[in-house]
Formats: sequence, C-alpha cells, structure tokens
Amino acid sequence: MSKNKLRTFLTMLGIIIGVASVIAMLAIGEGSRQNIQASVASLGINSVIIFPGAVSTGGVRLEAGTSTHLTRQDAEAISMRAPSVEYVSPVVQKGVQVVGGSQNWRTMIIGVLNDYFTIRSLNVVSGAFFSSQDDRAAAKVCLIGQTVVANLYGEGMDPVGQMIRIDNIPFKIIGMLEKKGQNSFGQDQDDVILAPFSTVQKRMLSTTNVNSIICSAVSENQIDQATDEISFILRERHKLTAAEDNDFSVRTQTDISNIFGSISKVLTILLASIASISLLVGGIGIMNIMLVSVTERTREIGIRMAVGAKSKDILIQFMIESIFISFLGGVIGISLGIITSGLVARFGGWPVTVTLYSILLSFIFSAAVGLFFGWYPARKAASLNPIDALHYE
Amino acid sequence: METSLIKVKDLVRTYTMGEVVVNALRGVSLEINKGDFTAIMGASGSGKSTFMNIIGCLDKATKGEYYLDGQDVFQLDHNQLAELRNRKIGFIFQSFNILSRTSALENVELPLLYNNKVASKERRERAFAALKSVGLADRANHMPNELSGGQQQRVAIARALVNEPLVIMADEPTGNLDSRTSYEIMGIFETLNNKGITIVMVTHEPDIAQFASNNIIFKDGKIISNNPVINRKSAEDEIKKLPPVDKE
Repeated sequence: MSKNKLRTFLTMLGIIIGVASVIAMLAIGEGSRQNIQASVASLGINSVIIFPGAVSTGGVRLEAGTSTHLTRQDAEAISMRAPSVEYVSPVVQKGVQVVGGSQNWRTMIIGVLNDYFTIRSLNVVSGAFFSSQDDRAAAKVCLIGQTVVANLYGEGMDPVGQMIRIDNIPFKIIGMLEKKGQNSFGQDQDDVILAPFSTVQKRMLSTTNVNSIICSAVSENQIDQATDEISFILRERHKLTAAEDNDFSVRTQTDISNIFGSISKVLTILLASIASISLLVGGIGIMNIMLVSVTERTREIGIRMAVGAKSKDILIQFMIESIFISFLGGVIGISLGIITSGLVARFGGWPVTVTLYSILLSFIFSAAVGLFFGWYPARKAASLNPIDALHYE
Repeated sequence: METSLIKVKDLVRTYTMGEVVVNALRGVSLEINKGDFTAIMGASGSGKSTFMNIIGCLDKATKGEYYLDGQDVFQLDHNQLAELRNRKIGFIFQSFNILSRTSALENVELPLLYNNKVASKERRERAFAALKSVGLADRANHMPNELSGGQQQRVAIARALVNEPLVIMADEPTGNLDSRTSYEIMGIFETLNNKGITIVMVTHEPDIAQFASNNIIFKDGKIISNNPVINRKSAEDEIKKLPPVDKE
C-alpha cells in the first residue's frame, strides 16, 4: 500500500470527496431547516395570528360591502371569552421617520399591549416594558430595537431615558430591546420601535382598525381549540351567517412553519441528491481502483499462493488495505466536510448544522464500498490455481 | 517403508485453449526418492513444465495419482495444498517471481509469514540465515531492481529454503542467467543436495542437466527415458574452467 502512495491517495480521494460532500450538503440543508424552525418558533410556539380579510392559499379576496376589519374590541372579546387563549394583543403598525441623537432613520413603529411581550418572548436589556397604565394614558413612551439604536446613537449605546421624535412626536425611550437578529424571512427584527397600543392608534393613526391580532394558546395541544374559539367569537361579532366565509384569517405557527418547511424540504432533497451522487461516484472510484489493483496484483497473489498463502491470507491482506483506505479516507472526508461547512457558514453567511446522521451515513457507505470492492476481486484471484495467477496478463 | 518422496501414477493433464484441446500430459508415472537430484529435460511443449506445476501443487491434474511423502495430494483441498506449498515444497521459477518493491529479506520472509508456527522475531532470524546461506547477507535490504539476475534467483532460492522443505522444485532456474552465474547456482544446489534436500529441476540446457544425479526426458506428454548421469559435473570445476572475469 505504501508501495504505491499515489494510487492509494487517488483511491482515498474518491471517498474523501464523496464523504465531504454529503456532510457539507446535508449540513447546509439541516442548518437552513433549523434556522427556519427557530425563526418561526420565535414568533411564539403557541401563537395564533389573526389577519383581517379572507385569504385563500395564494391571494387575498376582499368582498365588497362586508366588514373586513378587526378592532381592539375583537381582541378584547377573544381575551375574555376564549378559554384556550392565554395572551392577546391587537397590533397596529406604521412606517415612521425617527429623529434622535442628531441622526434620523426610517423604521416601523408597532403599537401593542403588554401581552405582546410574552407572546413574542421579548426582553429588554436596559430599562423596562411599558405598562397597561401607559396604554390607558396613551403615554408617549417607547421601547427601541438595537438596529435603530445603532443608526441613531451608535453601536452599543444605551439611549434609555432620552427623547426621540417619531413622526415629529416626542417620545421617551423607556427600554432597549434584546437583540434578535434576522429572521429567516429576511427581516431585521431589531429594526423596530414598540409603543403602547393606544398611543400609536390615537396619536399616529386615524383608524380603529388593527393590522392583526396576535394571541397565544394556553398550550400546544390547545392550539386547534383556540383557533375554533377565535373563529366562533369573531364570526358572531362580525355577524356572519352560516353560509358566509370568514372575513378574517386565523394562522397558527404550524401553518407558517409548514410553508417554509416545505421550501426547506425541497432544498434538502436537492442537496441530498447531489451529495448522494458524489458519494456514489466516490464509491465507483474506489471500485475501479480496487479492481485494477487486484488485477495488476494477480501475479503477486500468485507468488504468495505459490509460497503457501491460503485464500484467507490473501483476502485478509486486501481487506485490511481497503478498510484502511476507506477508514482514513472517511476520516479525512469528515474533517473536510466539517471544515467546508464551517467555511460556508463563515463566508456565505448561510446557517449550517453538521449532523451526526450524515457523518455516520457517509462513513458507513464508504466503509461498505471499500470492504466489498476490496474483498470481491481478491476472492476471485485467490480461488485461481496458483499457476494461472502467476501467468495472468 | 516409503523411500519415494514423490510418486506419480498415470498422470494426465488436458486443457482447452479456445477451440484447441491440449493434451499436455498423457499418462506419466514416476518415482523420485529422497536425496535424489533429478533433472527433467524435453523439447518445448513436451509437458515437463506442466508436470512440474502439478507436482509443485501449483496446478491440478485431470486424472491420475500423486503421493508426496506418502500423502495423497489429489484428495487435499485448496487450503491444504497451500500448506504443502508452504512447508514441504520450495519452488523456484525461471523468472524468479520475487515481489518487487520489497527488500530481499522481506521476500525471503514471505513463506514464514504464512507459517503460523513461526513467531515474528524468529522470522527475521531465519530469513537472514537463509540469505546468508546463498551468500547474500550483505544485500538483505536491497530491492530487486538493485540486484542482478543471479542475485535475484539466489533470493528466490533462499525463499524456497526458509521453511526447510522436503524438496526443492526448480523450473528452468538458470534459464535467464549467464554461464558463470548458472554454475554458481548449481553450486548452491549441490550443497543443498549434499545436505539431504531432494531437488527436482527442469532444464533445457544439457550441460546444466549434467549436474544432477539422474536425467528424465519428456516427449509429447510422456516420459521416454530415466537414466542416472554419467560423468556428473561439479560446479567448482566448471567455474574454474571459465575464462577469468574482470570483476569488482
């Protein structure tokens, strides 16, 4: 084996590339799947979101003459009457120009009630949340996200206590939100300002309609029940007859996750196919080299048999060689796969998660291929009459 | 008491090459005794090499009987034949058949590797002793491509000896060698034979056949004569007769 270092290396190369590809590809697929899952989970595990208007899977259908609006009162009704629903907040939002710290910045202000923080698992790293008192008073207080902070005051600053102007209205910053990063929908979750619901609705918007209502179910297995209760309550409030469709849409986290899940699944299948092909090619490479190797070494096998090697001696010799090549190639391939995944994460910015399953799969495959193609041709050669092996051309 | 080491009865070997049927051996019967130094001669295609391959257990006969040291060889299976080749027979080929990219010492060790009664330390020692007995102790770590034809053949001889076989079988051992080297090899064979090792040798060179104690002649797949050698040669004398060489 050491006698022909180049050939040994080339054999290993097949496995190395195959194994590395499988690991890197599956890592990319798994990484994106987990990333999407995490992003969706960050919406709140048990969250249920209600949008106005009926949405068929695809477009939005607005029916003239029917009420397609959601109001704060709808939210309150849900809060009081749906036992499977734990937290509720109506949500209004507006694009605003913010001036502060001698800079200005365009961002979104979202008006919410306190339940929103619980539903979305938000935290402040400095200062405090606003209270229901602030909501009742439509107080001009707000919580600021770190991207806004970075653009107005600079990275790492703490502007709690300072005044900013939002669409020319002075607000006091009473809290800075914990950094959340980008979600897998491509949105910067830190580019936001949160303010009490009434404040935004009364002082900045001229409508009683809300953009959405976000709720969370008491527990994961009560999500369906919550959805039913919400639909019932809203249908009653909106005076819909049995024949009419909902004029709102209730979306659970599962629905959203399913949409993105299926995209991620397609991606993973695609990558896995490519990876399998490389692994297959690697396997064929090993097969070829092993076959050629044994064919070339049939004379050598003949010599060994002539001096007394038994079939098992020949087989063991070749299998040890091929196991060694597969094993070493596998180890190098795994290392290379992990390093490649790391590089992709670092320079491509893609999320990457190396899975144990991919390592085992590719390792076992390459070991199996190496073993079989080391064993099979050697077995054929070892069953020859020594004189035939010696005369082999 | 069985004095014959090799006993062959009505040996037949037939094989087909494409559409042609070749009757390489047509019924060969022979006895070779312990301590004999037999040279087998014959024209090309006479069956002498086929015969050697069969008694060397490298090939199988189509029909007939073969007893080696009293044992019925044709009843043995693949693995048992391998054992015979390992312990009782030392085979030497015309083209040496030593492993390339393997040192002389490692080549000689090869049969010991397959002898599970020998531990690895003893392997080294025995291989080295065998090399010494053929005069190659100082070339133990050389690769075959660093050795002359004669030296390579001597490595093959050392390899054939290393498991202390009952019989050395050599198929045209001097076929690829010049006269001086051929006589040197015959000298080694003489020494071995004097120690009691039986030697069976195929050759097409009549002067080489004169080193043996008896000559057998093959023709068309049969033995046509088996006679003791008159005026047997000695290697030492033959070498002296050669013109001097400017050496070393």
